[in-house]
Amino acid sequence: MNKIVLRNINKSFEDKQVLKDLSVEFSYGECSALMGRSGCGKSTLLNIIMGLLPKDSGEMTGVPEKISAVFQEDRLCEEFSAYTNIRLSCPDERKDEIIPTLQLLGLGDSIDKRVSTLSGGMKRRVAIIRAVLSDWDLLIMDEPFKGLDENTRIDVINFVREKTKGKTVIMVTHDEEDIKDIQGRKIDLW
Amino acid sequence: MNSEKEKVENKIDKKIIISKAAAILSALIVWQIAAMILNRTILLASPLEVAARLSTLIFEDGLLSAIWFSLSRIGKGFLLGLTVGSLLAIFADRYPWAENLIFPYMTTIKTVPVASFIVIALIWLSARELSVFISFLIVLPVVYNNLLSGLRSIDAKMMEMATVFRYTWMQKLLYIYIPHLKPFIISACSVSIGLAWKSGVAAEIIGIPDGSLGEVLYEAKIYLNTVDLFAWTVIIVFVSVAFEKLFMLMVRKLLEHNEQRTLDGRVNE
Repeated sequence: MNKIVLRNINKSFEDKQVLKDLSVEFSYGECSALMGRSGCGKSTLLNIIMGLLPKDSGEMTGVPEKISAVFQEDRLCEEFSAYTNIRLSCPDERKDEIIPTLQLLGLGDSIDKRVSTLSGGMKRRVAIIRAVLSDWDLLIMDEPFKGLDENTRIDVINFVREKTKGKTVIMVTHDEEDIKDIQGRKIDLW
Repeated sequence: MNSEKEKVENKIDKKIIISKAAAILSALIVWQIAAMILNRTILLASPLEVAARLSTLIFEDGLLSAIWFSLSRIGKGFLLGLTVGSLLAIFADRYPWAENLIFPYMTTIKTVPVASFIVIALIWLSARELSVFISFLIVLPVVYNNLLSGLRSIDAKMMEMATVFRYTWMQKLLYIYIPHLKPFIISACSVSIGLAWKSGVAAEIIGIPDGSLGEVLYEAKIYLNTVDLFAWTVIIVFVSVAFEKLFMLMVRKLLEHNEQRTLDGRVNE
């Protein structure tokens, strides 16, 4: 098995069917970028892969156990520092990378600051560093670069591309530019 | 910029303190005037008479032992209520059927008058331990309801995040539950300490255990010693407020310590 396979996935919320007989494959070791109109079920699909939502029917194979994620919202522990948030999910052998990475992405002055005091863009970078530096075999990112200014976006994309090279990544985006910059494979989900 | 802000804040703090002190002083003056108009100590002791009595009372032998008697029992009841209320809230949050099971007990405790509980409990318990039970009973629903509301309002998305990143239960407790529950814990403790003292002393007045604050209040009432009644009431209020301030300070420090410990970046180490 060298890919994640989803066959005939169905998912409804009350009366509304969000995913209808959806079949898609994601190869191991590459970045797959899901695109599709708003409300077509991209986030629902990611939640099913992460095991956060049960599917109504269909088959799903090859999903690794160790998953990491950049959610659509940052989902950080607001009362704690940027360092603490990253350290919580970062394995011991990678903890020395936290401070240099925060510095690399322009958060050197915010290492010990409470996340609640950071700006939206700074929080987004913390959430991305947390996901990338944690222990994972599959990284899921839901519109990860939304809300970043252009310069920061380039730095963050370069960082993510370097750190995820040869690893399995599934990303949802509305921006073709993101796919090009991260060198991902586009999958249309209409 | 910061010192400017601090100066403004200090100025506001001073204004608040001065206005509160002025309000207390005016209340004392109203009380003194009312006592002078009535001119019968048995009906209303004046603040000056109460102050004079307090100045001798604080040197009397039985004072500290009476305070300790009530403080230890009401404190025990409060801590018991806090523990059991918290555990029941966690249980009710985890299992919806448990909330239904607990609901009639909590409703009964909240609606039945404290005096009825005291009289009923006197049949089962000795007067000495009555205030423990009554304080426990009054604190229980306050803590239970506050914590259950807090637990119910925890962001499900944060719990999903904790699941994806494989947080241990201790990490969930320290980094998600405790920070979220902090205002609920503070509010539950602050409200229930006052209630524990009110109900605990009421239980002592009805049960009249030897050497309690309730007993001295009861005796003052029996002998129509209004000055003593007021003086002991002032002592009860003072002890109750001191207990509340001290306990709340401990709770706040403990919660801040949790945030500070982790803000240092010392996680899992």
